[in-house]
Amino acid sequence: MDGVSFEVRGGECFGLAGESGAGKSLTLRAVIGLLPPSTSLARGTVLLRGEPYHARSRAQRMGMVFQEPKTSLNPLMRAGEMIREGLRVHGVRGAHAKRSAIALLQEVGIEDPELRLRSFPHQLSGGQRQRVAIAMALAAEPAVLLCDEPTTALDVPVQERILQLLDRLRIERGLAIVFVSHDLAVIGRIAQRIGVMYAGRILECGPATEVLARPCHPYTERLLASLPRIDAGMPARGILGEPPSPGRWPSGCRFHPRCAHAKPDCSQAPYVLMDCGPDRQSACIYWRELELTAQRECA
Amino acid sequence: MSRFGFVGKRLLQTVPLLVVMLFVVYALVRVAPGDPAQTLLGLHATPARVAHLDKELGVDKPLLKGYLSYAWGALHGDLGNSVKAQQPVATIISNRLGVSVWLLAGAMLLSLLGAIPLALLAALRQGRSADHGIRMVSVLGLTIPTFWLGLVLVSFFALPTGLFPVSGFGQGVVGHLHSIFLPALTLAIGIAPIQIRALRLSLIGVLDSDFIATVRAMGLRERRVLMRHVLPNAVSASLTLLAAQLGVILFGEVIVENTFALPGIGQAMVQAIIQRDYPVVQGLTLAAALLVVGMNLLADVLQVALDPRVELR
Ligand code: SF4
Repeated sequence: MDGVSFEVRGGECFGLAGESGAGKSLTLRAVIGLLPPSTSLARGTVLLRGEPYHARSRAQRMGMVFQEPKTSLNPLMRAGEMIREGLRVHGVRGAHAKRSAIALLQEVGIEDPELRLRSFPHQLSGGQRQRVAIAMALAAEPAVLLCDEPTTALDVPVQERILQLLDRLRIERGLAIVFVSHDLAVIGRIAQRIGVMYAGRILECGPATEVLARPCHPYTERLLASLPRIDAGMPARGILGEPPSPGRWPSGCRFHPRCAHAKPDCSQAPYVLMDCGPDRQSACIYWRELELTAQRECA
Repeated sequence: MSRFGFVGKRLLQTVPLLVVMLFVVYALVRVAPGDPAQTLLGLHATPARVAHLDKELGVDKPLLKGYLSYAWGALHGDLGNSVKAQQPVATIISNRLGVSVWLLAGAMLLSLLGAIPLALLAALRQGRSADHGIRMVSVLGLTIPTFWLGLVLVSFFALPTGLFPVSGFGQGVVGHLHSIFLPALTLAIGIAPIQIRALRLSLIGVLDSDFIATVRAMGLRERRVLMRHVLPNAVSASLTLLAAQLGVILFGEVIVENTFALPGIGQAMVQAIIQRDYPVVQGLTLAAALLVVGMNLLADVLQVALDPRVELR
């Protein structure tokens, strides 16, 4: 992973898309300064409201919601206790904490919050657990909410409701959200801006509607083509070949072994994100010529 | 099933175990080569005395009948009389059990006091020199024989410094603690390495889990993350192992009680075996087995108290 850079504003959701193994989750872990011990040293800065973010600082907090509802909560703690852990970070305790916890559970749409305060994770459904996880993250009043495929493990209807919840929280609280998913459709639903990641790099980024309607990068185009299209009744087309594994990235444009438009000099292409429209960037050196192709494909 | 129902179920599950255990203990004497009474009294004993002792030991009856009457007696706290000490076996046990339980608890406590911080350090510094160092030291601890370590502590530490008694159980709580410290330490060094390994592994698993990343990201103090979230999960995952170690400690007690001349059941056991005092051997074996069963039950109760998911199992 290198050269990954993105920006998310208050009240905005930034979606990070890409196949598994592209480095999306690693990016999130790097943001909160919790890279697994096996990764070699990562360098980079995270600015929070313009100031450098120090991992695990009590003044600068980030919320995290993970993919697997089974492991996103401490199995030995009641929902209420977990939320209080978040509240106590900024000094809310005692009876006040209980009221806040109930209010938070209400806010994330948990029915019968007073009762649910006393529930252990294994007594909650997957969707409820994700809601509690979100409530817990919110309890710490984070500046940014980082979501790592928070809906992937859920059934489609539950998934939809969680997305609605996140969307509402973003608007009501002015929350900044970073949303990671391999599913472009989900990203398209929730994010205002997206970045498409491949082999540890962001290949294209820009406003969600723009990128999805008029991709400026062959990889995005392929990702879009691989989405199952119910309306067209077409089977999903996969992307040819396996994604490269970390540490053995191809040279030049890392997508070139799988790119349908690859030309000889692609394997020497430097990695630069070039402006390819208002607020849009692409790393494909041929984006100008290929835009037409992408458009035709989408139309 | 309610969570207390779970404990009740475990309690019931021990009943067949106790029946079998009692049988094994009783059969010990019956399968020992030679006639127990004859062995006890020597070759020159009169047949009348041998017959009398046979009756007392219950070996004149058929196996099953003898077992039933032994079990019936055991249920009522009657384990027969010591042949050598002219004392009821139950009295001997109740005099000595306390010492062994102190030692057991002391050894467990001391080993955990060492193992938890070391395992935590190793897990937090995974793959780095502190981790390797701790692993090497614990392999060393694992290879030291208990009897040797006990002797070394007695002759190179307790005797020259005079800081610790080398025999007896002392007076009062302070006296007890004083005299069990070195024997408990000896046992603790024997079992701590296994605890460190198991705890380290489960700590690494917990440290890597999503909810730990979550509470860290939201700015919880590292101390609180470790104490409230990491440790309870890791320890509850290791409880079964800790309970299983009690048998190992009990075995070690036989050795250290003799090294440190502590009047516990381990010491009585060796005496009784040497003197071929069968009723005492039987009774002590039973007491030790009961102790292990009881401690495992305690571990179950702790598990229920600690882990809300237990009711589902
Ligand atoms: S730079 Fe070349 S290989 Fe890479 S995406 Fe563009 S056309 Fe394909």
